[in-house]
Amino acid sequence: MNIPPLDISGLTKKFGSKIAVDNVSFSVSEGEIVGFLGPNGAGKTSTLRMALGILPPDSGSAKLFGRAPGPAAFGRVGFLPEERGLYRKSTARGAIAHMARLNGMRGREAFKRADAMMEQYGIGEAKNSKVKALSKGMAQKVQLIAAIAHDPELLILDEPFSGLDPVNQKVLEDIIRGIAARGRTIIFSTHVMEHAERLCDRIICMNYGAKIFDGSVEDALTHAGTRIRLQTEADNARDWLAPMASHIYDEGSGVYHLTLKDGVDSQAVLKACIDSGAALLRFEPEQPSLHDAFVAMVGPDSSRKKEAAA
Amino acid sequence: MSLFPPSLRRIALIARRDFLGYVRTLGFWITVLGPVIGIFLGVFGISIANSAEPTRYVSIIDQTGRYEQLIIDDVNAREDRIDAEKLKLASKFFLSAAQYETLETKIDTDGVEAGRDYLTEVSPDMAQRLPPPARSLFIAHAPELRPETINAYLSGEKSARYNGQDVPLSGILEIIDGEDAPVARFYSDRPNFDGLTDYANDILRRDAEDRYFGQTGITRDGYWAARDDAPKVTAINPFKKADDSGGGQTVTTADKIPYLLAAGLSFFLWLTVFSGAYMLLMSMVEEKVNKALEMMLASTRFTEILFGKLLGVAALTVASMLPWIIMGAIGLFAAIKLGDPALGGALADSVTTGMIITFISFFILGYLFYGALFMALGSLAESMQDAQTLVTPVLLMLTMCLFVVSTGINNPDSALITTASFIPVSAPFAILMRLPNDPPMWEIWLSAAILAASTALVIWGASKLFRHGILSGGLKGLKTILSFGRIKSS
Repeated sequence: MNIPPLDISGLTKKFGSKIAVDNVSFSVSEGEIVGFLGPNGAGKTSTLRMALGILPPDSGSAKLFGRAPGPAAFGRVGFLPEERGLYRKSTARGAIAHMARLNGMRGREAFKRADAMMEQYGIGEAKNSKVKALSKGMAQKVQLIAAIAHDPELLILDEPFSGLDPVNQKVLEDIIRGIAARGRTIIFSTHVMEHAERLCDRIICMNYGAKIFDGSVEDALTHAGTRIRLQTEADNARDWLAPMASHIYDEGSGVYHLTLKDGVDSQAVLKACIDSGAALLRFEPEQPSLHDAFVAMVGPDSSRKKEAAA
Repeated sequence: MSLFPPSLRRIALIARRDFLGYVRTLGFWITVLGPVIGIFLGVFGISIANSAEPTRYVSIIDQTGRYEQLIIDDVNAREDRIDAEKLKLASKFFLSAAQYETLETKIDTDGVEAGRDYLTEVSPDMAQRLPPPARSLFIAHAPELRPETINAYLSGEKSARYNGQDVPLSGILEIIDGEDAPVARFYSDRPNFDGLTDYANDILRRDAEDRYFGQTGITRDGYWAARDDAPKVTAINPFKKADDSGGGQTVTTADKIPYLLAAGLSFFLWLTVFSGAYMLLMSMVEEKVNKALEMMLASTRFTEILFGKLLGVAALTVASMLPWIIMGAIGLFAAIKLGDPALGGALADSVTTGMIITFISFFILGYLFYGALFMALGSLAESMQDAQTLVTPVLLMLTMCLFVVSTGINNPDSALITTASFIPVSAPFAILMRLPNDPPMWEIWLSAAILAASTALVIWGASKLFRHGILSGGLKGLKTILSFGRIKSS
C-alpha cells in the first residue's frame, strides 16, 4: 500500500476563543493535484502550516510520508508560503541555491540547478540581480523556484497565484502542470476558481475552519445548483422569477441568469414563464462553473454560514 | 516538530548566509575599516600635514641680551628630544637588546647625533630610513633688525640670512626690559602663526621662577628636587610573594595589571554582546518583515535557525571587531616587548590558561544568553520601532552591567560583584572581574552552572517566542506568548 504524501486526521486549532481549524481530515495521494479552496479566514493557511509542522495543532495529527512532520520530511517537501519573502540583498540565484541547499542539495549542484531553472522559467537574465531589484512577478517566480529547486515529492503552495498578472498566472499554471507531469504531488490553496478548475484532479473546500467539500471538480459542480439562462421581453420578469431562484443575475436586454433553489427544476421555471404570458426569446440550461459551486458552498446562503449565524 | 537534535549542516548554512549576507554589504566594510581608516587619517594625516607645513623663518630682537641664546638652545633641544624619542622607539623593534642599550646610552649622554652615528654604524639601512625629522621653523640672522625696521622685514622689503641665503621673515620676537619684568612681543602678519611664542613663554616663566626663588635663596632646581623627594605612602600587600624585582611586598602598577586585563576582557564581551545583539535584532526584524523565515521552516527546525543565526552573527561580530582585536593584540605585544619590563611581565603572567578557559566559556554563554533573548524579541517585532520598544528593558539591563565592570576594577571582591556573578544577566561580566582575586573554584562553577541553565532556559523560551513571533502578528499576540502552553512543541 502506498503511503500518502500528506495525511491529515482530525486537525483542530484554536486561536484564543476562535476556532481556526475544526476537526479537518483528508489525505492526498501520490501524483494528485489538489486545490485547497475557501474564503479568507477559512483556515486554509493554518491547516497547511499544521501539515508542515510549523504550527502545532491543539488536537489531531498531520503526517508527511507516513511520519510526523519534521526532519524526516525535510527535502521531500517544497513550500511556498502565502506571504512571500526572500532575502532582499541576496542575488536571485543565491536565494534559490540557499533554499535548495537547506533542502539537502550540495553547493555547486544547487547553484547549477538555480541557473538552469531560472533559464527554464524565462528569468535567466535576472540570476545575478538582487532580489530587491526584481519586479513582483519575477520575485514570485524566484520564490517558487526556490520552493521547487530540490525537486520535492510533495509541493504545498499557499495562494501561489495571488498578486500575479494574467500572463504570469498562465506561466505558473504551466509550471504546476510541468511538475505534476513528473509525478509529483501538489496541493495549492487559491481564491481563483478558474485555476483550480483547470489544474486540479480534486478539490477540498474549507469554510469557517471546517472541511465542507472533498471530491472531484465534477462532484463540486453539482453543488452549484441548476442554472438557466433565459431572455424575455417582460418588464417584471424578476418578480415572478425570484421565488424560484436563489440567485438572479440580470445581464440586461431581458437576459437573466438564474440559479434555481433546491427542489425547483427547469420545467417549473418554463411553466412560470408561460403562465406569466411573457414572450420568451431564449431558454437554455447553463453549465455551472466551479466559481458557482464555490459561491454555493461558502456564500451567504451556504448551510455552514447559516449554521454559524444560528 | 521536535527541537533536537539540530542538524549541524543546516546550522552552518544559515550561519553562512547570515554572515555573507552582511559581509557583502558596504555598511559592514565601513564598520570594519572605520577604525583602520580613522587611525590612518589620525597618524598619517598628521604626519602628512606636518610635512606639508611651509618652512618659516623668524628672528629675535633681544634688547635685554639675556634670552636669545636660551630660546635658540630651547628650540634645538626640543627638536633633538623629538628626534631622539622617534629614533629610540623605532630602533627598539629592529635592534638587538644590547645594540638598543648602547644606542640609548649614546643618545642620553652624547646627544641624538651621536646616537644616529651609532645607528648608521650598526644598521645603515635603518639609519637611512629614519632621517632626522624635517624642521619647519628656523631662526635666521638679521643684523639690521631693529624695532623700527620690523615692518620692512615682515613686508619682504628686507631679508634675513640663513645658511648663507637670503630668507623672508614670517615673524619677529622682540624682548625688552620692562619696569619690573621683561616685556615680549611677537610680530607677524599671520594671525595663526605663533612662531616662537611657546618657547619664549617657557623661558620667561622659568626666568620669573628663578627670580622669585632667588629672592628667598631657593633655586628652582632645588625646589623641584624637594618636591620629588617628598615622602609618599607606600602600598603594601602583606600576602604578596616577594619576587626578584626587589620590590618586596610593595604594591606596584604591575600588581594592578590583572585587574585592568579583566576589565578589558569584560568590556570586550560587553561590546560583543551589545553590537552582536543589535545585529541579531536587525536581522530578525528584517527577516520577519520580508517573510523569508516561514519558507525556511518547511525544511529547517526552529532551533537550527536560532543557532544558525547566533553563530552567523557571532562570526560577523568577531569579523567586524577584527581591526580592534588585531590592534589590541599588537598593543599587548608592544606593551610586553617595548614597555616597562615589569609591566610587560605582569601582563604576560596575567594571561593564564585558567583565565583563557573561563573567558571563552563565559563569553560563549553570555553571548548565547543575550543573543537568544534579542532574537526572540526581534521575532516578535513588526518593525524597528517595535523592536526598540521591546528591547529597551534588556538594553537598560545590559547598560547596568557596565557598572559591574567599572566597580569591579577597584572592588572585585565587593558584595555587589559577588552577587552579580550569580545573576545570569551580569554573571559573564562579573565573574571575569573577580578572576584576578582568585575566587573559590566552586563559585566559578556555580556561576557557570546558573548561567548555563539560564541560557538553556532562554534558548528554549526563545525558540517558543521565535516560533510564535514568526507566524503571528507580533506584539498583538502577546497574550498568547505569555501562555506558553499554547505554543507547545509537537
